[in-house]
Amino acid sequence: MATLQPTPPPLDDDGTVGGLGILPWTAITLVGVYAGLRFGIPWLAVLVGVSANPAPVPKFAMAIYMLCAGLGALVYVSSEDTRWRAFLTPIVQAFVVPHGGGRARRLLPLAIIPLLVAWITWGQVMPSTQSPPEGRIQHPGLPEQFAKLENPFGVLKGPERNAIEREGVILYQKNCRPCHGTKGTGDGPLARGLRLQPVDFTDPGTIATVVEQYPFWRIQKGGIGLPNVATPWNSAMPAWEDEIEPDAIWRIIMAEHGIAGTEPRKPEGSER
Amino acid sequence: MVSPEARRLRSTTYKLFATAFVGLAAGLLVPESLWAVQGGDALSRIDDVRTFFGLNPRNTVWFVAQLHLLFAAFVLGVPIFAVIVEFIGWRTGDERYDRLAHEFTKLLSAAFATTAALGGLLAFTLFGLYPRFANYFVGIFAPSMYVYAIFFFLETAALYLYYSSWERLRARKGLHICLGVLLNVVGTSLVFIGNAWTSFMMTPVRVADDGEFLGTTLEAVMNPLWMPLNIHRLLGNIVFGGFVVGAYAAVKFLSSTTPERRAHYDWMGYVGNFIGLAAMIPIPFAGYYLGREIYSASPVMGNNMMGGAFSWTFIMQALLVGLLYIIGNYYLWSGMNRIPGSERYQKYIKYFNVILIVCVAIWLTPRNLPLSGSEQLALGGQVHPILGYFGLMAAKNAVVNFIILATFASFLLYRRANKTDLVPISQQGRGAKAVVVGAGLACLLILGWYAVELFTLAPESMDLAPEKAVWFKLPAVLLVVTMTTVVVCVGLALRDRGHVAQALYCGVVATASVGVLGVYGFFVMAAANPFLRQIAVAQWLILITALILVTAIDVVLFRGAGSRGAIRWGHVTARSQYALISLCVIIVLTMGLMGFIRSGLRENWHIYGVMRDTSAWAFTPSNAEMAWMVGMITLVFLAAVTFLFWMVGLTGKEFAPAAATGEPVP
Repeated sequence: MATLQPTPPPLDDDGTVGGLGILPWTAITLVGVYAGLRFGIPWLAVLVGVSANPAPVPKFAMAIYMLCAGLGALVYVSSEDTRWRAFLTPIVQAFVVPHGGGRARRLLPLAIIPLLVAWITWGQVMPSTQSPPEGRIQHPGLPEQFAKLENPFGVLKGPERNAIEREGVILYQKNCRPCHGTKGTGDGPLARGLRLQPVDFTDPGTIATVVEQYPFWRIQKGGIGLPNVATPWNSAMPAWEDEIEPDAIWRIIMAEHGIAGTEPRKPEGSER
Repeated sequence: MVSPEARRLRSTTYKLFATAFVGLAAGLLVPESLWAVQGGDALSRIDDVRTFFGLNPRNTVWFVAQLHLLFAAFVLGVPIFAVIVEFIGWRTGDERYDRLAHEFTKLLSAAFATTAALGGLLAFTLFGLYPRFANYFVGIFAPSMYVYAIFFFLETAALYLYYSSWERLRARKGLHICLGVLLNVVGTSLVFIGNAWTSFMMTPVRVADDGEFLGTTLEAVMNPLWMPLNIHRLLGNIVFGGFVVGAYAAVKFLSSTTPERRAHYDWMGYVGNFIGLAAMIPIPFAGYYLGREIYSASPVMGNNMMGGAFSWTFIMQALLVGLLYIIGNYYLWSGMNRIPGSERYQKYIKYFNVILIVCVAIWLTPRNLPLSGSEQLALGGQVHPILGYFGLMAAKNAVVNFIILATFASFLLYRRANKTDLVPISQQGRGAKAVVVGAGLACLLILGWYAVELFTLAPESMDLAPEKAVWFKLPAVLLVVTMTTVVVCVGLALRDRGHVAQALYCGVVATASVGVLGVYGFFVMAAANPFLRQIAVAQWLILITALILVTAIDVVLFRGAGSRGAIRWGHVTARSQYALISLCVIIVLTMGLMGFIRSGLRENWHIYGVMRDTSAWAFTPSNAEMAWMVGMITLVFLAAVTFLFWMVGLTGKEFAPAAATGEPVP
């Protein structure tokens, strides 16, 4: 296989940066990425004012980001031959080639690595009172009977539409404001009593990404009406179908968009 | 005296026949009761669904359809670039291109019969397992099926004529290339007809409430998803063909024992990767267009796709496509080792690497992260206050554009790796200057057209209130700023500041398309959601102008330049070849995954909203089941392709080494 290896071009980069080898630099970079995710992002959320407390990066996200960082490091060090050799040399010396450092020096990594693996394994299997992470589908399929509904006030324009929205605002303030807040930001006076914050309508990923029929379904059937894939136990939204008439729900939906300054998603003209 | 090679082949062939015989015998010994289950029905009753020897009919059709599509993608994708490569060889007089195109076509002829056989099997399984659906479907599409059969004959004739006349028409290359073009026209027509059937199943038209079809076959063909699907599949086939050819070359390279063969297959692998990556540039936008049309046709399907049942499947898709870009770039960077002078550009690679990795990480981030109880409490909700934004469409659009721009920049580095002693553009002829000016004008035309569109866009056309028009201004102004930059960059290039022009334009495009419009997209999503479509188009058009203008400047900038040495084809690491092989595996997995999403979006409908699948197998398979199925399909496909290519190797002539020249590939 020796013939497969190209003659490396005369590179300036000898695999060291500022006196440190590429392997320590790779390790430092990965530790830096980890620190940034572990401490940087949580505090950034506080700094930019989107969270009152540090918002930890969930384990799932940590895992995918660290895997990406590891892949990036591997891609970088192995994409150039001199760099790859410089990266591998200390590893090979530590484990394979008898080195001037002697037996003890070579045994050290051999001891550290199993300990590290053992520590990670213990962390994974130790008994815990935490509930396991749940994969959740944000917007489960809209049931057919709701998909076919039409907003009876959707065609209205100008003053007529404004009048409907005003009625909707009154209904909203009576029924929705306690949890979703006066401005629809999910921070009403009752919100603090809930385990999970109510939806923030000004967030572009909530009511603005779905068609109007979607919040209609959610208001009528509430959290309890969600399918299991959307973890209905993680929602305190009541089912309003016995309390609010369908026409009033449409008014509320229009008011929600008006209060939050959002627009519902609308399909472009279809031939069907 | 029989050579060891021949002995080995003979032994393998015997083993193959023996295995086939054992399989056949085992099949015949299957208990009769199993066959009896499949007995015929009374004429008065047409079953809704039958099982496949007791197996799940839905999975059976899925398996056969996906295998057929994978072979079809190869058979229809490869001729597109085979003809282009042959044309380059003809015009440049470089024999290597011609030989490469011929080798592509040889692979093609081997896969063609298998594609046809699998197509037949797909039709039989559909008729056999879903008779009621098949009956209804034929009632609508029968005329197009006859046309399809005729086109299949034409495709067969064109392919074998194109392949077998290679040597005979060597003196009349133009005629031979015309045959190749004919092959592509017929092949594309076949894809388009097939696409009409599948797209109609998602967006049926002219169907009454009781299910009666009221239109003509042509109306059914021209359903709303037909053209978006055509574009997406056509591009997908080219990417697929490119990466499969790349893997073929990599395997050949790794098993080559002579420098000439290694040089040839190294170069072939490079061309395969180049084709795959180049065709991947427009694919995300074609996918966006398809998704947009799906959403327009049915908000339920649209919601299921991105936010609902298939949202996690789309995260897997982001992982696979992200890997395609990362590994494709990795191969390019590894390939720079074989180019003298490339060390000057090594320092830039780490920046491109960081851009790619960060962008893929963002692309991979779901809106709803899986959270433990304590994480939910710490965040106070289901969505992380910062990372949650990465899960929105605006973020995805921005990072995909950035990935494409970084990949393009990698190509630029590769191209210039051994170039030196540039000829100033001012000293070049009118033709060179005309290329730069022409590219600039094309960019101005594209950007100007869309700027006018946005300046004159009426909010009412998107069902938005008049005051929302304010949201249209920034992207329109940004297009004008980009147009101004085009003029400046063309001026700089003509004044021998080509490098500065390229850097400036790429910088402006990254800022405008990724930075400004990426962030702006979040605000538009909330305040004027329907307008996000226009933002996506503006981002992509700005990006495309970078590809046009910067490429044009690059071509002229390095025209007639000196070289620090020829590319040492064949002198590449084995790692890079394994990268090519993994690209092939990933593209097969991606095609399988996307096939599942496209078809699965119909959920429990054969024809969405018209004919429901009322069988016990109508449920949408879980992602775990999907992963098993797609994994199995991938294994079977790769095994079948390996077998076919091995057979091609048995019948083909021994490779005739040519002088491995060091000219770069466009």
